[in-house]
Amino acid sequence: MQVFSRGTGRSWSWGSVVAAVLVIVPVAMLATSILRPRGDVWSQQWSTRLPGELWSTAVLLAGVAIASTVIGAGLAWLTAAYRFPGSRQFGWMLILPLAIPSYILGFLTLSTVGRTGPLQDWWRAQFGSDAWFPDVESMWGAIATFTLVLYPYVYLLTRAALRDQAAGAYFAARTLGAGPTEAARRVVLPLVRPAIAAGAAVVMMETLTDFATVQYFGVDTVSVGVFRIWRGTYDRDAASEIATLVLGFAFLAIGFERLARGRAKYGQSGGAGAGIEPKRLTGGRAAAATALCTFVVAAAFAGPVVRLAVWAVAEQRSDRGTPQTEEYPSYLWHSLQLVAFTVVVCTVVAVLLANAQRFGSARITRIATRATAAGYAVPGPVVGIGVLLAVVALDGALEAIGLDLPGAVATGSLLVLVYAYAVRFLAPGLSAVESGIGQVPEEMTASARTLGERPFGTMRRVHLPLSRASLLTAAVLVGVDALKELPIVLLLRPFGFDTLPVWVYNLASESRFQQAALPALSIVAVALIPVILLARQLDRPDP
Amino acid sequence: MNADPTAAIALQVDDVSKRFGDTVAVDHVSFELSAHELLALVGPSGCGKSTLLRMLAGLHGTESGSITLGGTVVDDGHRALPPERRRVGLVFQEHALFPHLSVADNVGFGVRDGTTRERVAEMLTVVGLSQYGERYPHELSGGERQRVALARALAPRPALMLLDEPFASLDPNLRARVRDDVVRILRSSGTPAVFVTHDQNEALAVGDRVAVMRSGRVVQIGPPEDVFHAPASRFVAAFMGEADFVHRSEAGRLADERWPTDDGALVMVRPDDVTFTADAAGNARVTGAEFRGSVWNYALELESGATVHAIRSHLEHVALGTTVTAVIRPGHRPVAVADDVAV
Repeated sequence: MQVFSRGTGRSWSWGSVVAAVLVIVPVAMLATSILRPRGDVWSQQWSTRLPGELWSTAVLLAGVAIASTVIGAGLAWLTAAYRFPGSRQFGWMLILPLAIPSYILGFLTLSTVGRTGPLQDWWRAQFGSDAWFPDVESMWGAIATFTLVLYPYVYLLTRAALRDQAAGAYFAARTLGAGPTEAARRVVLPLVRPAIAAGAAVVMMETLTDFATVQYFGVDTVSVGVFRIWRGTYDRDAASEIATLVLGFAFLAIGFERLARGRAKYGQSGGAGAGIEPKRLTGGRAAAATALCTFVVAAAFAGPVVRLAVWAVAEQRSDRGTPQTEEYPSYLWHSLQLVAFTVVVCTVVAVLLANAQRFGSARITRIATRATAAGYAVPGPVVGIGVLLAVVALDGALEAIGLDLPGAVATGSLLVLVYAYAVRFLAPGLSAVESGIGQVPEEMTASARTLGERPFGTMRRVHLPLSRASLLTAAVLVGVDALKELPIVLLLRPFGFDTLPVWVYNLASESRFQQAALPALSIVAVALIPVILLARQLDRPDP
Repeated sequence: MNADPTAAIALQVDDVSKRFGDTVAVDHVSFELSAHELLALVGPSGCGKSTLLRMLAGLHGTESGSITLGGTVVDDGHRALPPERRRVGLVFQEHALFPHLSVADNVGFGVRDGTTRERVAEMLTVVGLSQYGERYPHELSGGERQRVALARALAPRPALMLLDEPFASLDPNLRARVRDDVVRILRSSGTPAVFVTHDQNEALAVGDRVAVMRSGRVVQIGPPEDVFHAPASRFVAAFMGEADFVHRSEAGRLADERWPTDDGALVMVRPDDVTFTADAAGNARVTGAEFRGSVWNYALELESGATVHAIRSHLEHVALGTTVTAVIRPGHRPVAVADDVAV
């Protein structure tokens, strides 16, 4: 009696479809909530905060996108096309700000150049107590903070495009008689434009996801609106309807990227080249270039880290009641729980999805995997409220058949939180595992199968041992993202479930900056791990 | 040996087809393989031979038709037995050894009846690598890797071996030797095998029978001599070896004996069919000469303008432009071929 399998690896195909559905359902439920709008919510919102929130969101996104593009692409060109003192080191140091979450840089900006900060104290000492100083607690402060945190995305993508795509074409243009400036304008800029647009889109998504940092600066975006409605009234429907506006802005950002990229899609490289030959800067120009890079690294990374370290030490020495080291373990424990669950869920799902592409139907698994990875592009508030809707619906369905889902769904539970984190952070884990399994030749899978091993056994005996390093990478990427995450945990945390980022946020919101330094510094230290790995890769000389 | 006549059929492929999108990869292919037989599947790249092999292994399902392995239907066009249940051995061009496992663990990977140690030792002896069990694949040469891959595939005692361009990655010096080793091992194990190659010399040297594929179809299948000397079509004739094609009347003029009158048919003339002598009143002129080491291959332009080639020993060199009398060697008889589209 032979057991036939119908088709190839049907259960693997179905597994990947289930994963995709679990990711899509929350977003879809949220998006469709706009189809049955509640008049009272909209009229109330429209007559109060909504117009201002829409305007603030648009200004913030546009401002951060423009500033990040100018700084990110400009620095990429500066470090790729010129040599000046420290240019090689700045090449990798300029991505270090990725390790500082915006909600940490935000309070540091406020406390340093804000009204009560040392800079303004000094200013007033020099020019009198009513000397004019720009208001930092404003849209401008928010734009500056997000730009310093997010420009590395544009920088990284532009740099990669300059190296992989533009170098060969640049040389071709030079041999065809174009001077360096003309070659840069006519060949390099058009070739890196898609990369710049992609970077700007990522920057806008990250800005849109936030509703903690903007509150330091008194800027109310639609994301803040969603947070306020949900935490203020626990009105799911109202929160989800306003959250559709956040989703709308996300689509606008994607649309903008498509528009800026135009029809250009430069998958192929303009040809390998030794790289654009850097021009040596001398004298004042060299000094200016070094000074500019130093300023950016100092303002976005070195300064903040030093300030946090000094504060953290000072706080432990102060005699302000309870030493922080006593509270620290409980926050750390909550963070670790969340990180551990998220890492396990995301890595396991990523491994199964990546393997399903080998064992299941190629077409189904490819579509399902793409859909699953799309969760990374959905802003945090949308994921948060969407997951809430999905879990409430599930709870209702289970209740209808007489089962009770433990835990208070309305005020959030760890389950809801991990689900939301998984939706948002599956993508980085998946791409790491996929590239690891992609290194295993198809023939090796086929050999194991014909040698009598079933798909699961092939995964265990061949794929996993050969892609171990990528599993570690996936775990680190997901874990660091999960540790840093603030918006989703603020939205969905069970009562009293305070993580390190929540601790930072609470203290910073009350202007207790020195106390926020210790947890903030711990987060930055962990977030530095993947950034350092990336920086080392960048610093490696081109092959 | 089993006397049951059906047991003598190791593999039966019946009217199998496979499409990828709009491309027909395999088009109504049928053939049988008897026990102990080695079949060489040869054709230009993209002819569907590797797809056919993958369907036999169970890595692709068929779209229609059926595949029967050792009396069991493993694929009937709707349902397919997964590769791990087919008892087929598969050897790839790049060998695909598991880099994280030692040679012994590679060979033992598919053995699951509790005799792994004995079987691994036995197989390593068969392929002449008994001292190599503790090594890792990256410590082996190309030829050694090839033999480990063969040992690994043979270890679970497959009912059928499939080899996909197994020697293409070896350098030419090593190739013939490894090929002979592999064929010897396959024959001594008594395992029937299907062998995919794009190299017609390899197909002729290795196969008990040769199946020539083109555009998804098997255009001829038979013993190597038949496929070479009695090709079913102009394509097969040209693909399997050098050949010129002339009208029968033209060939008749080169032959001593009287040939049937011209019926418009094309006949195949291979370079070894033709010989010539210098003769000022001859019927052909030497227009080209290619040195091949042991022989020269001459191009002869006939009076009609057609060209045939002739192979001569390297000891006798004839200058370009020499007028010669070309004849078909006695005993050689050029065969008529159907004029399909040339290669």
